[in-house]
Amino acid sequence: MRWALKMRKTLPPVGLGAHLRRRYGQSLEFIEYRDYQVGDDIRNVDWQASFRRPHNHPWIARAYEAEQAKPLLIILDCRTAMRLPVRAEKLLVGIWLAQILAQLALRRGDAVTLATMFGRVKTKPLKVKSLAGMAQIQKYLRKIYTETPSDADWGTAPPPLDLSALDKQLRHAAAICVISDFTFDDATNAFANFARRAQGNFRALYMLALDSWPAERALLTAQPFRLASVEASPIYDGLREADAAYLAACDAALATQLTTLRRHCTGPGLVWPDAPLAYRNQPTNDLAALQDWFRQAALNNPTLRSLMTRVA
Amino acid sequence: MTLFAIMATASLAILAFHLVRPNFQNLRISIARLLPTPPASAARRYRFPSLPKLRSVPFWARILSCIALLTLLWPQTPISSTSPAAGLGLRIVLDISPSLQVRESAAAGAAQRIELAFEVARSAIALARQISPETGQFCLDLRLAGADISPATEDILAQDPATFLGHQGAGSQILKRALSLPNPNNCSISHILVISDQAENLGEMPSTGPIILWHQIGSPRPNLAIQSIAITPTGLGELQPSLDITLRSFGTATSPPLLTVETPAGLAVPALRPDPSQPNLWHARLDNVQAGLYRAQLDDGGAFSGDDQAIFTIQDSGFLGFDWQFDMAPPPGLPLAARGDGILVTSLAQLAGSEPQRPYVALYDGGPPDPQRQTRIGPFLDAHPILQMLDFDAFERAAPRPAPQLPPEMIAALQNENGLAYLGLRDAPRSVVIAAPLAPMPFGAGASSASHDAFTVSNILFFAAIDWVAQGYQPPDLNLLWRDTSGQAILDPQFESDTARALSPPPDYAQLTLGPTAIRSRTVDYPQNFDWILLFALSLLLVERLFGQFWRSGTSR
Repeated sequence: MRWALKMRKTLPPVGLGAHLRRRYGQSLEFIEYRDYQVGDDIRNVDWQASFRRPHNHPWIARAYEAEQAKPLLIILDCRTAMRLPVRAEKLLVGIWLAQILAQLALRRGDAVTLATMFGRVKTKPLKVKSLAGMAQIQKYLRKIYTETPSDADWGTAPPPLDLSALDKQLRHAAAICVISDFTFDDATNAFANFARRAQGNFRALYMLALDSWPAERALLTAQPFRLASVEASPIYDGLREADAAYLAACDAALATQLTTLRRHCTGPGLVWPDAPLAYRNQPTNDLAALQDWFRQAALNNPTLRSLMTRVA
Repeated sequence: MTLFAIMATASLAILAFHLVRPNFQNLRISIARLLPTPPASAARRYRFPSLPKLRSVPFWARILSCIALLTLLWPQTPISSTSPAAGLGLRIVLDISPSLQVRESAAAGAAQRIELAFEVARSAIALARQISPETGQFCLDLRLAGADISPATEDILAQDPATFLGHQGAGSQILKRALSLPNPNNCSISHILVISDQAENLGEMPSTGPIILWHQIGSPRPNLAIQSIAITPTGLGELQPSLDITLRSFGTATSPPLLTVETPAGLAVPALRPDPSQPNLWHARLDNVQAGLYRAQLDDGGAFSGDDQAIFTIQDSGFLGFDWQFDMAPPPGLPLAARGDGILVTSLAQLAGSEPQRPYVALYDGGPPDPQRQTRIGPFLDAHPILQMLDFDAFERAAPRPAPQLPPEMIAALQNENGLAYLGLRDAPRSVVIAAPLAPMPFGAGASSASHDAFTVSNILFFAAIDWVAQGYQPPDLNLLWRDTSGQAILDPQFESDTARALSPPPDYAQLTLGPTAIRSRTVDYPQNFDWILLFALSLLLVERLFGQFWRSGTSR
């Protein structure tokens, strides 16, 4: 038994592929018997059933489901904040997720397009059509990960979001997966507008949310801290500490951010479960522990479960 | 012990350094943009836990390397031989140089340093005799260090010490030489006691040998000294030499020195100019001195009188003069000296291979200018003073004939293209071979331009050569004699003038009970496997550095 990519059958097809559609096609999946019509393949005629019918009735032909491709567009958030927490970066988890999704899609024969947003270095989308292209995907992701920010990059705001280049990719995609923590500033609604466009033509938009706040929240409560600036956040003098009221205010601010963004992105194809891929409620600074957590958490995540199914 | 204490302190400092922990963490929170202002903390920035971070590799590397170095340094203290000495052989080196006549104070009845030295010697002998039963055999070797080191018997310590004062300074080399004297008969020297008014100046001593005790005597007392007297030779521009006298003060001078000089022309009191670079130096200058006997006298010259009076003689030969033995031309207005003195001017042919040891100018007949003679200058000494004023173009037009042959000690300073010399030089003493100067052509007697050039060139070269030789002329020695107030001649008073040096505390006479293995040798008994322990300590430091490198690179973000 292994995992396979599962998409809704209503998603728009792009060419022939492995996904079965409730429409007549040339797969081996039988739908029904129907009267033979001019133009049907003569090989689909069920001669025994046809001879059992009166001779003035048309022949009976077998109808099969169609097999169609559903390309996948994966968008990875590459903000500087995605490189936190230290030694348990969300970007690393996002890369693991992108690799899993790409491999599942390619294994079914679906093309995969990999793109980034908020990257400090502009990278062109990478389109891969077969499983042999996994090496390209891994090279692409490794390049993203190794472009570490400088000390000056930490305190500066991410570049303005420009997803216009991805609009062209939407035409060749059946589903779009966005991997992010969704805590970025979308004051201009650039991301929300893109999300609504992505949901047009019956496309599905999967939001794979990463939530490192439980681990970072535990860091804040461990001992007094000095808070460094991230993405142009304010710089505070002296030592600070987090009490319960402060943490509650932080929870509320984060919830407001996510609720607002989700409301702006809402459309017919949005799949954004309430439960994100959340870190453990303890400081995480060990890569091995992060991998253990990921193996368990990823399989139980609702969004991923909605994208994957187990097949024989 | 000092090194050990330093290393022990360093170990404690390392321990304390590793115990200190910051009481805060530097955080980067990914949603910092959304967070409200965190409340300020009243916590202290650092805490001091009771136990160090035991898993810290740099900590253990530093501590272990310190322990290894402490192990190496622990025995690095001078080994004091606690075993009783087999015998006591005491050599006393008694300084009897003229500065020992200095009294302890300005009072008339104050003791002289020589009396203190005798007293110290008597006390040391008494002490040695007192402890000799513990050490067994005892022998004494008494030496007087003045102009040389002479043996003496213990009886002189009962006599008047002033009668043993020498008249020549005992430099530190003489005192050090006493340390290397051979053992006297039937006496193995285990201790050497130097009694002197000079500060201890042993320098590098061998690692084994007798124990050396240096007992410095004499309270510091200010002194004024005539440090040096020099005569500045005359050049062509001045006919009389000048006299330069340098005075030096040791300690705080109570008043400016007063110098009087008795000259053949009478008593002179030259003005003293303080030296701009050294505050304890003064310079006096007497111009236009004459030949004769001189006496420089310092009034109130301080504690030591042996450097207050100098008698010297300026001879007639101290003045620049030329011994003109060149028959072909008269001396052109130069100061003349008696025959056999001064700078010899003669013809090159008269030298006849015997080169004089005094400065000389040898002239040869360069002949009149010959328009048919084509001269090309060959190699020459660049920027030599004699050639600085010479126009080489004019010289090629009106060059004399080259010298037939140079004396063996001469080098050619100016040659033609065939390697024949126009100018020969010797540096010590300065001497020159050059063409004789031409006489001026009578006015209106058909003097051509070439003959005028020849006259100018030959005279420029001649007078430049004369000036160069005159500048190097060294007058004879002044025959300086130093006398103290009693008229006693003092030799080398410069060794004795510093009577204001600080007085060191007396040595530790308890060392007389130690054996001859020298305490000054600082013999180090290194532990076994010294090199391996050192290698281990260095390896730990290397591990610590390598770990620190990787540790830093791992936490750079």
